[in-house]
This record gives sequence, structure tokens and C-alpha cells, in this order.
Amino acid sequence: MRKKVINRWITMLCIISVFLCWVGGVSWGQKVELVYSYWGSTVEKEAVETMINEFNRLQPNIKAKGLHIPQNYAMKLQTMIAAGNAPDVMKMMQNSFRDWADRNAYLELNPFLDEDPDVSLETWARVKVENYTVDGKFYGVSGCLEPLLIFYRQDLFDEAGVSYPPAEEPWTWDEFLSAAKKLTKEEGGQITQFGVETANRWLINASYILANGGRLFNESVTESLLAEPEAIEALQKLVDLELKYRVDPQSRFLQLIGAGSLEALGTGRVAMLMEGHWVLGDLAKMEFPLDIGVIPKMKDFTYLDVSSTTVISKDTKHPKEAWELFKHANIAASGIVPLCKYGIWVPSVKNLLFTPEGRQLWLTEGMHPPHFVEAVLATVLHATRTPATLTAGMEEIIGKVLTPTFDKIWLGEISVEKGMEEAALMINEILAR
Amino acid sequence: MMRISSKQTKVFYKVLVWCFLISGTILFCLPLAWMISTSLKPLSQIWIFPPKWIPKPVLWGNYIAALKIFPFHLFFANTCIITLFSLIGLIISSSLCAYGFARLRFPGRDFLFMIVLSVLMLPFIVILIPRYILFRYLGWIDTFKPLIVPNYFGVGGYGVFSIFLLRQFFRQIPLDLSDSARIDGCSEFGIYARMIMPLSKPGLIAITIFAFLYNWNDFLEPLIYINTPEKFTVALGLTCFTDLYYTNWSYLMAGSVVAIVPVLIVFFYLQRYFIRGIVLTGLKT
Amino acid sequence: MIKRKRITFQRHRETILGYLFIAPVCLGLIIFILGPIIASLFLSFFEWDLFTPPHWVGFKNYVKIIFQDKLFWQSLKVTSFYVGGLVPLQMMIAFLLALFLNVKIKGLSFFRTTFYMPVIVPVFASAIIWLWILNPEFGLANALITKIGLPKLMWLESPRQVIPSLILMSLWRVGQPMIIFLAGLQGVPTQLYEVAEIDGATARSKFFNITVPLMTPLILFNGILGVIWSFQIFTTVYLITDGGPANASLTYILYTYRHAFEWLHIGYASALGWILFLIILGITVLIFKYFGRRVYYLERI
Repeated sequence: MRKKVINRWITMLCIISVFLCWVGGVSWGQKVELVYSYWGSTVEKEAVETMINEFNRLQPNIKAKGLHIPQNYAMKLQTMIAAGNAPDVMKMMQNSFRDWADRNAYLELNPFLDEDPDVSLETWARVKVENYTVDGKFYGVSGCLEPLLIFYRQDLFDEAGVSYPPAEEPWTWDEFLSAAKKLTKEEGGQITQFGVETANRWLINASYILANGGRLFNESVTESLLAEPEAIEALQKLVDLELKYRVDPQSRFLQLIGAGSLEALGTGRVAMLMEGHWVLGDLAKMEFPLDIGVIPKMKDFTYLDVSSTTVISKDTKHPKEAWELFKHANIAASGIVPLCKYGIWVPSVKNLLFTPEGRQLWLTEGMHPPHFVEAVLATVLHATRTPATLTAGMEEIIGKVLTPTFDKIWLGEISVEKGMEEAALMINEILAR
Repeated sequence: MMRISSKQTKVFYKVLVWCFLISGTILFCLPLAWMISTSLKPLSQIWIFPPKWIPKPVLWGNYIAALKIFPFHLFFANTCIITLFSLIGLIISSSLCAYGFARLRFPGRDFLFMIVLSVLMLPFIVILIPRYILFRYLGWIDTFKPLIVPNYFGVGGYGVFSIFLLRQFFRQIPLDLSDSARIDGCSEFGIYARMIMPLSKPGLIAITIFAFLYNWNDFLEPLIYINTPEKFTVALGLTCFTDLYYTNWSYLMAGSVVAIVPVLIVFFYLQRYFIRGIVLTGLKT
Repeated sequence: MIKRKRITFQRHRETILGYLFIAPVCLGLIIFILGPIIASLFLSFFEWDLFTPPHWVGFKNYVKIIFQDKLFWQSLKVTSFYVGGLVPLQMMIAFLLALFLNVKIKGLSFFRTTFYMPVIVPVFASAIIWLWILNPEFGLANALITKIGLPKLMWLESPRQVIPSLILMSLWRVGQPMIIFLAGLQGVPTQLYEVAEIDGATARSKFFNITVPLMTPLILFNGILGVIWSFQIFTTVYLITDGGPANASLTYILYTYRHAFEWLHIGYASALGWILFLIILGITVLIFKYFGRRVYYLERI
């Protein structure tokens, strides 16, 4: 009886110690260890892992490890930074970038740029650098741009006898609206085909406020200018697409888990999809004649680039090595080309995007539609600096104020004027903190 | 005459109940049927209206692909470890505590029991934040410790419920038994371990099942405490199939089906004990 | 004389042992429950973002919440509708199902398992399944109701329909309270029914005079736990609706979670948590006071 008990205890202890070892994690080695955190789908995971492996191969005394956080990236990263164990190099979303910049969580990169002959602020597209520079301090970029484009089905356009959306000189808003009307079909009281879908509320609404000469904030970022006439006019035109002219299907509020806009284009329920470039990869897999055009203009032709950035943590123990990793991830073709080939990224590195030799490295037949290059180049050259990095608290502004207000406006429960007035008041409160 | 018609009525009612249950079952199982159906479909067939139930072709390969893309073997291992060690802690701590409340007398006993019970009323969010800070201070974030250790102190998932249930059980065993054991020189712990516990098997099985389910499917706590994907549990691992803008529905459903199977087996075979365990406590206050 | 000394010694021994046995749990309560509760109360008087040093604001958080925060009241409204709609329905359906599953018919195990199965499905998977079912364009729900001739519903995408949709989703998991009721029904001593039959009682009077009164403790138990639990609805809304559309499904815990983990307002979130605690405490006390007297216990009968 006693022996049994002792045996049981020994087995218990063994299990517990194995478990503790496993959980504790024993690590050896004297290489410099870096952690690189990122989000994304399985496709992105593969590409990033390849990039990291290549980096490790090129830099034998550095061992970089990828930390893939597919869900709740912003929240997880926030808690890691606040706990003092931020990854060395981390991708950072646009809407949470400024909060941590203001809290001094990033390493300033200007000194590295000055010292390093291979890299300068001119390496990347202007708008990218602008977006992530605060008071002259440059904090980082990522290797991609995400232009706002029109993805459309050539077959539905042919059927309706409408000429394709232009790939260089944008339509005026009225031309765009009339094309959408011609592409909207009704059968037996139900609309079976819609002209266009504009489901990405933040991206599209903010872009068009800017395109109509409006602004989100005033110069000193103490007040919101959403209640100004230009902003209201822009939003009204967008809302009318759905509520007045019914060329835009009922807005999908549940974009969270991808419940439908890509399928809508894929099944021919809409003829045009206005969305950021990143959906190209998934759309190209579907079987229909896809092509790309530039978005229509309002007073100006412009858009908001929502692509993210990569930063180096201020607390990193190995700044020089972290800089090498940063460079490799955001300049080296090996880090960028695979993701461009998958239709997820458009490179932000100038010589990969603006030179024919550079483009040859990643343009892929079957992925990149006929008018891809013209449309993307035209759009990218007209980007405006994003207002989302002008102030901290953007997550709250978008999540607490803008998204619910847009919801209400698009449901027809409140007019654009009233909605924007309310929103401006709430935003001013947040800005005042 | 009366006997025949009352028998007929009984049969009639039984058939009625049976019909009702069958239709209820169909209704309740529709979502699950769709889950299985989707797990075997190619992506292109999911968004068809009206929905198609039997996919053409049937992609059994979805299961293998889904489990390979993400390290599901790790997820399962992690979940097993967390569940096993949590269960051990739960059984030990809640039975010890229930024994104290049920079979020993000491001042403040009933008052303390009320306090323990009142924990059931506590909204989790009130303690979530300070607990997170505590675990951060201890360096336990991104480990399994925040999920396992509280069970050894009776405050894990279903901890208080188990104390309550087991106390009911223990109270029903006649005091004479332990009195005579004490006179014979048996230690209190001995009475607990060798007499009371074996007599309470149904109750123990009941709480094991409840706690097993809870730990296996727990989503919120692993979400908050675990960061590295290699340490994910199965419940968290399923979220890997969706990212910012796209969900691989077939793989997600395949993964979910696999996640359910172990629990289903456990429940189907142990449900008798499960129900008996709760019954025998009477669940009276 | 000796006898009295022995009794005191026994009493002491029992007291010490009693405290020893409950010691681990008491320790756990202090470290993992009481400590955090007090810490949370303490935190609610500060403004803190986990990163920069906290600073004292006194009752300002509470004042802001009650008098200036429209979303606080919105989330309270949303959660109350959800709880008020779900708990009574849940109780009735669970009780009904338990009654049916208490009848000796073939395949009882099978039926019990199928009704309990939805409880076993991991929360994330079940959220996704229902997201598809309730999808206005492609979902099963609209497919079924249009077959009967009803118009298409917007379900989770309409502010007025989102809460009823969430209630429907929660009712799918009615197996959990059902099992408790089932256990309770099986615990009713059959002698009572036999005695009643001898006295000539009908099925209806057996039900209302024996079954229901004896089930009242469980009904109270399930009811209170049901209220407490459903007040804390979070995971499903977090995963599917994110509080939308237009904050129509912004439940209390979701709102608190956002303040804590998305916007890093730790103090404000702690204050929100405490207010919820007090609300739930108040409701529980009310339920006990009002319904407590109507509960019958077997011992009394």
C-alpha cells in the first residue's frame, strides 16, 4: 500500500517537473535574440517566416524569431508594451501608432538613417514616411502601401454596355454614379445586382472627406472639423449611393469576420467593389474576369493610405541588431516580394514600385489584373497624409464615436449633419484629455 | 374500462413526447449539421443560396489541412495539460473545503460558507483587471499558471459550485460513520480520504464533467493571458482561422468538429453519473 | 470532570481541523478574489493607462459614468433587455424540456446528449455558425422563413433585431439549465406521486401540487445564476457584432472591456466593474426577498 502511494507521488512529481520545464522554456545559445511581431493570415505568416529565415541566414550572429499574433493584435501588443516586454521590432497599426509614440515607446530612427549609407528617407514613398513621422522624428515604415481602388467585373460591364472605370484619369463623382446606376439591375421588385459596394466605412469615408477638401481635425488638433460643410457634403454623397440611389447594397456592419463583401463580387451580386488593395489576393482566386480602376474624385483625387508601420521598441536591448532586422523586413526584396506576389502588398520601396525592373520582380500574371500598374501608380501618387497619426486616442475616436455614428447614418436613423455634429462634440471631448 | 384507457393515454402521451423531442432535436442539431456539412465543402460552395447540404465533392482532406496549417497537436496538448492539472487542483481543494464545511463544526462556519457562495455573484470583470496586473507582476503572463493555479485554491472555474455540490453530498453521509472512525483512532484526513471521498463518487464525477467542459472550452481567460500562438488552447486555436478580413470557413468548421469530439465522448459515456451526481445531492439549500 | 475536559479538547481539535480544511480555499479567496476586489475598488479612484504613473481623481470616474456617459446607460439598457428577454424564456424552455426528458421513452440518452450538445460546442465555433445561419443574404434562417412566406429579416444587422437574435443564439444552449432541472425532477421522491395517485390525483394536480413546489429551489437557483451569468454576456458580442450596429448590442461587459483593454482607461473600467457588481448584488437581493418566501424545501414538508 505504501509503495503504491510512493510510486504515485513519484509519477506525479515527474509529470509536474516535465510540465514545468516545458512551460518555463529552457533556452541556450549566445546569439543575439530578437523578436519580430506581426499579424496576418496564413499566407502572410509563411511569407514573414521566409523573410525571417533569410535574415537569420544573412546575419549569423543574430537569431530573430517571429511572433505571429493573428487575433487582437493591437490589444495584445498594448498589454505587452505596458508590461515592459515589447517585442524588439513590431508591426504597428495605424490607429494605435500615435498613442505609443506619445508615450515614448519607440526608438527614434533618424540617427540610424544618418549613419547608414544604404537607406534614407527617400527610400520609401513620401506618404509612408509622412504618416509615421511625429514632430520631425521618424519612427519607421513598413514595406507596403495599400491604395484604395475599384475592383470590378469586366463581364458585368460588358453586359451592361458600360465602359470600364478608368485606370488613370478618375471619373467625376457624377460619372461614377451614372455608371453604377446602369449596373444596377432589378427583377420583380428585388435588386439582383448592385452597381458598387463601399463597405469599408472608415477608409472610404475618411478618404472622401479629404477628397472633398474637408479635414478631420484643425491645425492644432484640438477640434474636430467633421461638422464642416465639405465633410458633410462628402458623406452625403456616399450615403446617397445606398439610401437614395440604391446602387450600393445594404451596408454590412459585420465586416469583422469577413461575412461577405468579397463573395458579393465573386457571385456577381455587385459589379464594383471599392476597397483597399489587400483584397486582391483573395479576389484573384475567384473565377471571374477581374480588373482594377482608380476611384472617382470629388473636388480632388486622393485617398487615405491605411497601411501600417514597423517600429523598434525603445526598450530593446539590441538596437543595432534590431535596426538590421527592420531594414531587412522593410527594404529587402526578399521581405516584400513574396507578399506582393500574393496580392496582399504594394511595395512602398520606391525602386520596387516606380521602376520597371523593380516591378518585374513581383508582378505576376494571373494575380495582377491588366490595368493594375497604371491604376496603382496613379492612386499612390495622390495619397494624402493620414489624420489618424495626428493624435492619440484614434482607437477610441473610431470605435466609440465614428463607427456607431456611421452605422446610424447608414441605417437612415440620423441625418449626416446631425450625426457629424454629435460626432464632432464627442471627438472634441476625447481630444481635450 | 378505466385501466385500458389510462394505458392508452400513457402510450399516447409517450408518442407525443417522442415526436416533440424528435422535432426539437432536429432543430437543435441543424446548426451542428451545417457545421459538419461546411467542414467538408470547398470554399466556393459555402456562399450559395439556398444552402446546399451535401457537398460535391466531399473534401475529407479539409480536416487534415486544417489541423496541419496551425499546430493543432500543440493546441490539443496544451488544452489537455491545462485541463488535467486544473481538474486535479479543483478536486483536491473543493473537496477539502466542502469536507470542512459539511462535517466539521467551528465558529463562523456558516458565515464563511455564505461568503464563499457569494463569490458566485461576483461579475468576473471586477477582478479581471487586478488579477491581470497581479499575474503580470508575478511574471505569469503568457504561461499556463494563471489558468491552473487558482484551481488549487478553490477559485478556478466551477470552484465554488463544486464546493457547494460536494458539501451537499458530504452532509448526507451519516455522522455516526465518521464518529466511530474517529473513536477507532482514524485521523480526520484519513476519514476524508478513505471514507467520504469514495462514497461520493457520483458527485465527484459530476463536478469533473462540469469542470472538464469549462476548462476545455474556456475562451476568455486564455485569450487574455496567453500571447504566443504555440501556447494556445484548442478554443483559442480556432480563432487562427480568421484574420482581419477573411475567414477560411471550411477549415474552421473542420477544426471545430475535431474540438468537439473528445468532449462529446466524455459526455455521452458519463452522462448517467453526471445526472445521478447532481440528483443525489438533492440540490437543496 | 475528565469527560468535560475531553469534550473541550475534541471541540478544539475540530475547530482547528475545520479551519485547516478550508484553509486553501480561504487563502485563494483572499489572494485571487478579495484582494483583486479591493484593488479594483482602489483603482477606480485613479486614472491609469498601465504605462504612465496613475493619478488620483477621487469619485470623478463614478460621476462621469452616471451623469455624463451616454454609452454607460446605453449598455445598461442593452444588457437589461437581453437579460429580461432571455432568462424567463430560458427557464420555461429548460423546464419544459426537462419534463419531457424525464419520461421513460426509448433513446433517452440520445435525446439528452443532443440537447446538451450545443453547450459543448466551443464558443468561437458556435458564434461563427450562428453568424452564417443569421446572415441575411446567404443564411439558413432566412432560407427557412422565406419558404414559409415570411419576409427576409436582417437579424444581427438591424439594431432592433440584434438583441432578439442574440437571445435566440443563447437559447440554443438551454441544455445547461435543462440538465439541472432534469436532475431536480429525478430527485423528487416517487413515493409522493404514488401516494397522490392513490388519493385520486390527476396528472395536472400532481404537477402543480408536487412537482412545481418541489422544484422551486432549483428554479430559484437557475433563475439567479441565469440572471448573474447573462448580465455578463461578452464573448459572443465581442466576436460577432462588436457592439454594433450603432451600439445596439453594446453590452455592459463589452463596454467595460473596451475601456480596460482597448483604450487603456483602467480606473474608469474598474469603476464600471464595481457599478455592475452593485447592480447584480441589488438584483439578487431583490429576487431573494421577493421569491425566497415562495420556495418550498423538502424538509419542511
